[in-house]
Amino acid sequence: MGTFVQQCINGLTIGCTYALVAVGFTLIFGVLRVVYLSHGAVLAASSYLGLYALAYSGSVLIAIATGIIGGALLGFIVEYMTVRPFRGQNHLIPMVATASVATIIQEVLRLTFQGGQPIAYPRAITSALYEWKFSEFRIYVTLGQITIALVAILLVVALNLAVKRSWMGRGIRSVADSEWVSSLLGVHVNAISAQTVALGSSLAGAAGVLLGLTVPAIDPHFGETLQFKALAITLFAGLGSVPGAVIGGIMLGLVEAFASGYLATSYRDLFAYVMMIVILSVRPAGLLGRQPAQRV
Amino acid sequence: MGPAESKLSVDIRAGAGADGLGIAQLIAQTWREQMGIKTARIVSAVILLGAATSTATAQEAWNITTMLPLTGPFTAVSPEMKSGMEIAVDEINAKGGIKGNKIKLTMLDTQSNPAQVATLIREACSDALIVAGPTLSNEARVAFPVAKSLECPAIASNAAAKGITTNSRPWAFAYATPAEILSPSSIELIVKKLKPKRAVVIVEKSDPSASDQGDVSAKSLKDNGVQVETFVANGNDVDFGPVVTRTAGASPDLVVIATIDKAAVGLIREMRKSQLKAAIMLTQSSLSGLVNALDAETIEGVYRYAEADPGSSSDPRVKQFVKAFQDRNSGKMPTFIAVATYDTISLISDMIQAADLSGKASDRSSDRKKFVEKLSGVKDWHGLAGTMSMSAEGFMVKPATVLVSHNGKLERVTAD
Repeated sequence: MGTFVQQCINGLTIGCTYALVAVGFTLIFGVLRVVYLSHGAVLAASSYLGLYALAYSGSVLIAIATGIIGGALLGFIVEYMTVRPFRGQNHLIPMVATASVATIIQEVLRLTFQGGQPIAYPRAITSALYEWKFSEFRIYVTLGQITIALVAILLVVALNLAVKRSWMGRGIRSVADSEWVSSLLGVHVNAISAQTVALGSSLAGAAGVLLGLTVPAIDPHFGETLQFKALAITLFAGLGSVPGAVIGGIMLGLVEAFASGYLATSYRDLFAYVMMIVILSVRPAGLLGRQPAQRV
Repeated sequence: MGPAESKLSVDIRAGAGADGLGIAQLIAQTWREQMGIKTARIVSAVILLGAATSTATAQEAWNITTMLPLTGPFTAVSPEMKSGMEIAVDEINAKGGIKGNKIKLTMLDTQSNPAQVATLIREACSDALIVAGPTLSNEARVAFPVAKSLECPAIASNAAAKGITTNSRPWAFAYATPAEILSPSSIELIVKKLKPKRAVVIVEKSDPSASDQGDVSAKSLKDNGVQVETFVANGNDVDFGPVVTRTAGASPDLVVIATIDKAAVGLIREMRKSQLKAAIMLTQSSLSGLVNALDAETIEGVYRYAEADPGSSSDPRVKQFVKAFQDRNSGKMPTFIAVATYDTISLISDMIQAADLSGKASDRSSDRKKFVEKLSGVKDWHGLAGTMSMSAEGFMVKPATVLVSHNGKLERVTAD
């Protein structure tokens, strides 16, 4: 029982991290129809910014805020360089362009921060342990894990509100429906495109700092694995669906935790991706994705 | 090609044949056509003088090239590797070099990317008589077959993965001792000391050295009558909770962590959180700056084995090395990583002397063959890591040192 509850907690915290990365990813894809492969590099760069903010200020909140702002600014730049110039062209072009910019960001980090060697965040604050003892078992959780879950939930709710209840969100939704019609109605598509990528990248920035607080060390490539997991989540959860990305992220976290906990640990990733294929074969549009309407 | 003063001089000679002036003359001629005659004459004179000087000084140094992960994910180990090699070169050169000629060490950056190594090893083999690298197993796996095809001796200082030299003999060597020799003796000592009944081995399958050390450790534990379960972890995991929760469920007395440093740090921290009572042992694959940077409380009582521990050695040569290392690294204590690169350069130097190489460009091929023959037959060679011999597979075989962290310091573990 204790192992089961502990694995649930492990899975939920891993899942919240995945969800935070996947939500930004799905937002950008849902609005701009771009496979944005700079997301992992922006996450890593924001993580470095957060590390230095934490070192100077000693405040986790300032570090997270720095990560969010840094991620958003980087998102603006990447959008200006790789998404805007290629709008309306073959979707492979912005995909390759964002992958190229990701490599540039990673190389700059490698050559700038201690030769790219893994660097550990200071742990004093987030390693604080909370434990509950029951008659037969003990479960534990760290402040870092609680922070990840809370901030992830808070940011996803804030994003949902921003998209549904604000003027910017209205513009984002209209561009997601049709760039052409939106531009005819006076929506500034370039501005919406930049705001969308910045919004998605700010979530990657927050995820970068939150992860830095819990993983053993960060390096310029540490966002790559997460980016491809986020891409998988975006696919099986339903392209462009924010609630789908949250549910998908948590599902993947739980599957990984239980596969590691009860089945052969070497097959953990195999189970996760088998789950993705099964979902896609049953629901080709993903868990919460909508089947595109067909013109007749 | 014989020893060369600089990479530039080698490049010029390589394109110009024996006299080394062809490319310089060609460049000067092109410039003469594009610039004024007077300016061109001055530039040409400088180039020709440079080329002639470099040709003249070519016989004054033994060119050894190494490939280090100076940037990228494995950069953490490179300062130690670099210092170890530099100290060895400086000591040899201070004593007059090899046969009166000094060593010129060129360092190439692999960027921690094995894909880069295939190109770099060609460059290294073209420039140098002997290549002291690459240093890591995943890079050596790429470099060794190329070195063999070029008939170029390559010695990897810190690569111990099983079979990395097999298809590249007799040109490939590894200073490191492979896991099948190093791990069993260490495990046997720990089993005698701690008498565990159940053990868990956590292994990182994506790293060749870690994977070998994990597999051999698991087998050695079984051979010593310990019940073993093996789990897998990865340095890129965002949370080590699931593996540690599973490990705790197995109620082990001993946990052997055979991963790279990132995963080892994550696992140790998670085990401390879970209050797992089992003893922890790290294999050599996980030892680097990240592990050494763990605070004393977290690392307390954690066992490890390594090919050498300069900090606890009473050998005067080792003490002298430790002092030289600390002088260059703000008082930091070296580990087996620096010892391995120091010994690799010292071994190369001793073999050049023992094989009586000429170092002339015309004798390059025969020099390399003589060097390889001599190195293959090394027996009871005395390095900083102790007395060692070359195995038929091209690994330097030496005994392991088992250590335990106590009050922030490493202490040697004995069977008593």
